[in-house]
Amino acid sequence: MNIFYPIAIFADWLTFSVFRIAPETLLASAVDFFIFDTIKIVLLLFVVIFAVSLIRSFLPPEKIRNILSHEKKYVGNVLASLLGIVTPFCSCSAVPLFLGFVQAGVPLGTTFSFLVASPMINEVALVMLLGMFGWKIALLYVVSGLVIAIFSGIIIEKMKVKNLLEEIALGGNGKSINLPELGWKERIQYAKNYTFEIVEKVWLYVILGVGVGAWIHGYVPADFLAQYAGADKWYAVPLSVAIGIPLYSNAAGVIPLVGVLTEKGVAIGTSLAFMMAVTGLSLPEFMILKKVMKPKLIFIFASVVGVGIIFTGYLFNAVLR
Amino acid sequence: MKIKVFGTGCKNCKQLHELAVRAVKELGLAVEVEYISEVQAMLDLGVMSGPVLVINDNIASVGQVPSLEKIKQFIADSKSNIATSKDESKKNSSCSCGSCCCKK
Repeated sequence: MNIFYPIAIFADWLTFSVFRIAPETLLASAVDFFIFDTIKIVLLLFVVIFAVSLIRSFLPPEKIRNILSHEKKYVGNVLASLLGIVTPFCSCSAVPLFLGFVQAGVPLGTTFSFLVASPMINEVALVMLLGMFGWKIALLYVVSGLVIAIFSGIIIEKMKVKNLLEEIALGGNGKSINLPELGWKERIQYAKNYTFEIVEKVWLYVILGVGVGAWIHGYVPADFLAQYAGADKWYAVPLSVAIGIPLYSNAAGVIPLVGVLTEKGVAIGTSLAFMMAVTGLSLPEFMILKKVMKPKLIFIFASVVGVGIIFTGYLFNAVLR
Repeated sequence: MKIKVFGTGCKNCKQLHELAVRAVKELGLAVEVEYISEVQAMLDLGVMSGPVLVINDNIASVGQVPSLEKIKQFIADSKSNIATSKDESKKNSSCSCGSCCCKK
């Protein structure tokens, strides 16, 4: 049943037979945890990122824009959020994506749905969640991320905020092109390059995050944090969102930490809200978006998404006890 | 021949520019590779994901950094396109790579 069983055997062998650490000690528990989780996550990173990039090669942003510029309200928000999952997002691609969509006539609300889903539901976060929490929590994260993205876009559309865009967003020739079809060889090459690029970028954070996580796993008593961040502490959710906003670049390192913090008593809704804030609300992204929209619109965008995340956090704290 | 690299200043964009310059040098061509970092210029091409390699106003690659060999091949294909540009049918079929046929 458990496909990671061979890795567990390997981690045990390395811990007990090679390093000769006495079983049932705190050190053994921490080392075993570190070896098992690092190998598992690195393997997952390779498999999942490769699969997502392969799908992505069929859906470049230019194609997504063609799809979205023909969609009506609501359907457009849903599609934009779903398509946001496979699109990579970094602060340097935010501006061209936003301008490209708006100038080609994609509704502003649809563009925002995409802008929320794309960074929040990304393959690295997905791998970390799968690795540290299992598929149920990973699925919960994806579904609630989608719902937040869809509703944030609908709400922003209703607010009629087009006057809060900078002039540059209203110009341009709005030209869209059909990119030539790629062959399978090129798609696989692209997926391979992208996978190595991302793994190279995040592996150190993974090791650091899992390392510190392993130490906490071994040395901090279970439920220790429940007294500070348990489900009955109302302030834990908004506080965790506020802490998550400046932490974007470290999503790979943060999630293993959150994994063990949950194990030590942080409520699951609080953890999910924290991770969504880390990925979905990012300070550098806001700074860069200042080029294309007025600060007031960035504030509205961050508030709508922030409220959505906090609501989700409370909901899961209440439901998943 | 005109070769342009459009980017937003990211690492990949700079890398593509460097590779294009190297490709031109290794092919012994006297062509300057222009680097355009203005976002709107890229958007006006109809492209949203940098870096973009444009050879003689044809988009050769979008959103990724092709290998040095591939870039050389793009340049060579483009040269043969010019040579046979009067023969339209040949021009259309000369793209075996599939990514250099993007016409305005």
